[in-house]
Amino acid sequence: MKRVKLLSLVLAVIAVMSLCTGFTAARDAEDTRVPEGGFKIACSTGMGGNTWVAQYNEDFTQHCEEYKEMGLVSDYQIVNTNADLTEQINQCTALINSGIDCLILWPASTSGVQPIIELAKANDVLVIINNDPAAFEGTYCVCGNTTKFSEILTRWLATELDGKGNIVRIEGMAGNNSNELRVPVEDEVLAEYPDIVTLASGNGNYSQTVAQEVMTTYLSTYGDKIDGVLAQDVMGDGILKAYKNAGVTPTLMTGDYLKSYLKAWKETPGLRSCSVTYDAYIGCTALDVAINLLQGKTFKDEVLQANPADPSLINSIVVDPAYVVTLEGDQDAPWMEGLTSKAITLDEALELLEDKDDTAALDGGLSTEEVNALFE
Amino acid sequence: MRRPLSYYLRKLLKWSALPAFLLMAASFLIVKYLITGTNINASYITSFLNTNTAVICMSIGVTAVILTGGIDISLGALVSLCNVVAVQLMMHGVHYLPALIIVLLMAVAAGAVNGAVVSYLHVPPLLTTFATQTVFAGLALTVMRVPGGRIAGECTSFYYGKLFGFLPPTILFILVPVVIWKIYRRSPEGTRLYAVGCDEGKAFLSGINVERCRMFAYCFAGFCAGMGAIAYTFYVSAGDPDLGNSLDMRAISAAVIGGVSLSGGYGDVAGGIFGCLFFGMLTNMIVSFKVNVFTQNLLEALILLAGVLMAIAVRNRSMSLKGGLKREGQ
Repeated sequence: MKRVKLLSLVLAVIAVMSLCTGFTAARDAEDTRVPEGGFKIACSTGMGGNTWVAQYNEDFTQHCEEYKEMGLVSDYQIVNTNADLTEQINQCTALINSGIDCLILWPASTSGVQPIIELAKANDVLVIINNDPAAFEGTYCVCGNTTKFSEILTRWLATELDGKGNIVRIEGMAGNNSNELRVPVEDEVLAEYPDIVTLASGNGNYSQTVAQEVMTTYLSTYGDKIDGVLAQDVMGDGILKAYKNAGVTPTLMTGDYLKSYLKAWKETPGLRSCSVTYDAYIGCTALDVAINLLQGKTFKDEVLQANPADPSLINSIVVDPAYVVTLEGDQDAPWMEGLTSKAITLDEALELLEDKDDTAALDGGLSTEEVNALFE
Repeated sequence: MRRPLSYYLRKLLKWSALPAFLLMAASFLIVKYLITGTNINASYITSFLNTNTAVICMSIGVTAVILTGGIDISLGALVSLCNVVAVQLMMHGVHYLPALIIVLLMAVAAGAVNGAVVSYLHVPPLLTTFATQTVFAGLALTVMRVPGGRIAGECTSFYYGKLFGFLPPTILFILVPVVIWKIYRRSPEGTRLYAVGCDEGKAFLSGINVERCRMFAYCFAGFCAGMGAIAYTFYVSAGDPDLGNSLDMRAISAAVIGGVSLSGGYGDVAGGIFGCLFFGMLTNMIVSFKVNVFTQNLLEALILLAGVLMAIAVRNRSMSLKGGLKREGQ
């Protein structure tokens, strides 16, 4: 048996060694990477399996096809992983190894993707960090303005409460980068309203089901003491279901931008809510930036902003939410101050989503022309 | 005396790690010969090993636990905890050597807690490790709420360097648990561990100290998770409280693909190692096939299912060759 194992191991070593040789010369010959018909683009997302990611993938695919028709992209590929860093590193290693020009990377771990960045740099692959901000020298970051997202929702709720009342909070996922950027902003805004009391705060893990469980617990514990609900995105439907199951009519809550939620809001008389988009189109914005950079263009002065994950690194394009949905759609409301976002009414939001499935998200972002205008 | 070829063939067919080895070899060959544009060279293999060392270490550890008839789903969270503790210690000025020793001791202690609860309080392993998984994950978040930090430069330099001028240092992190396991496996205690997994009652009646065998398995699993965490920390050079979250199932699946019986008493760590390498190559294959993003998971799951079925079929065949229920450890 020992001999057999030894023999197998020797065979394995020989196989591996044979893999190590013979390829380098062939690759060197074609290593100039002059694009024929366009650039090779890859996108790796750090999360999968929810409607937001599905929309991100659809938007990105469609945008790549448009660039393909224009002859700027010859090939593209998207890979998903569900917060599995090991899988993402394996995926990205294979992508970089296949000779891509640009990697749009939504990091599964904002600190753990260093090996990918180093490998990409060694292979002259442009890296655009996307969606979840992460700070790495030699990369660019294109992400949504997640702190503004939180600030709008919290300020809207505080204004609706006239600065006093009891709220419950349903946050995202502990340790998630966006969540950790949003929660301090909520705390900061709420600190301006000392008469708003947080009865309880829990994590909904960006899951309708978990959010429903948490809200059910809140309703059974605090009942009619709850004046309002402050929740992050993609959990609004679950919260509404908890209210429905408890036989209580919701009156004030922050919602989300999925069509299913917007429809449910419309069908709930007396409910005042606010939805701020966290745009899945951000992947397309990253692609627009990548195409410009790959063509050798440079950013205009003052365009790049501080990285949200490390303000000392100036390498980011931070995009405001595309839409803020309220019943009135008031562009001059206090929470809209200093934003490029568009305030729209609930009816307008539903009109924008008229032909879409219930799982579709209200979505927007910088147009290609707007991105092109950021470059010299 | 020279044995006939059929003898070695039978031995090979009985090798519990054979399915995983074949899967790994097949996936390497597919990536090399069927997928164009994949540049497999020494640097690729080093990078591949670097990425998968943590899960390989975990798989070695979880194999030991499964062999006793148990399971440990807390190892991923333990990897996260070790990672953030190591980074925080170094960030607070602790020299990397004592920091790493503290992390390893902590990992073994965490394994000992699992082992003690399972062995002496007789709480089912799944329930125990589910509870400790939550505890470890919570502790990791307490130690470091947001991903970040840096480790000592020496650690990164070591990990990305070469041993004796050609060996990737990551091999060390795999070799240490393998050597410990091999020494233990060859001792009478190793045989007893397999006996506990085969039939706990009979093992007890035979005078085997069942609790001690289980304690070793869980402590060893903790140690392996600690080694994996150190390797991963060196690799990514930073801390993340969610770093190991997804690794549990990958390590357990790799062990099963590697021919380890979930009911205990059959299998070896080599299978888990090959299983992990197969997992890594599978990801590369899926990427290289340029499958549509919406069908990647489906295809990966189907290939995995085929792998598991193959592993089980070969294991059953191997066990029947060994004669009924006679297990490797007996």
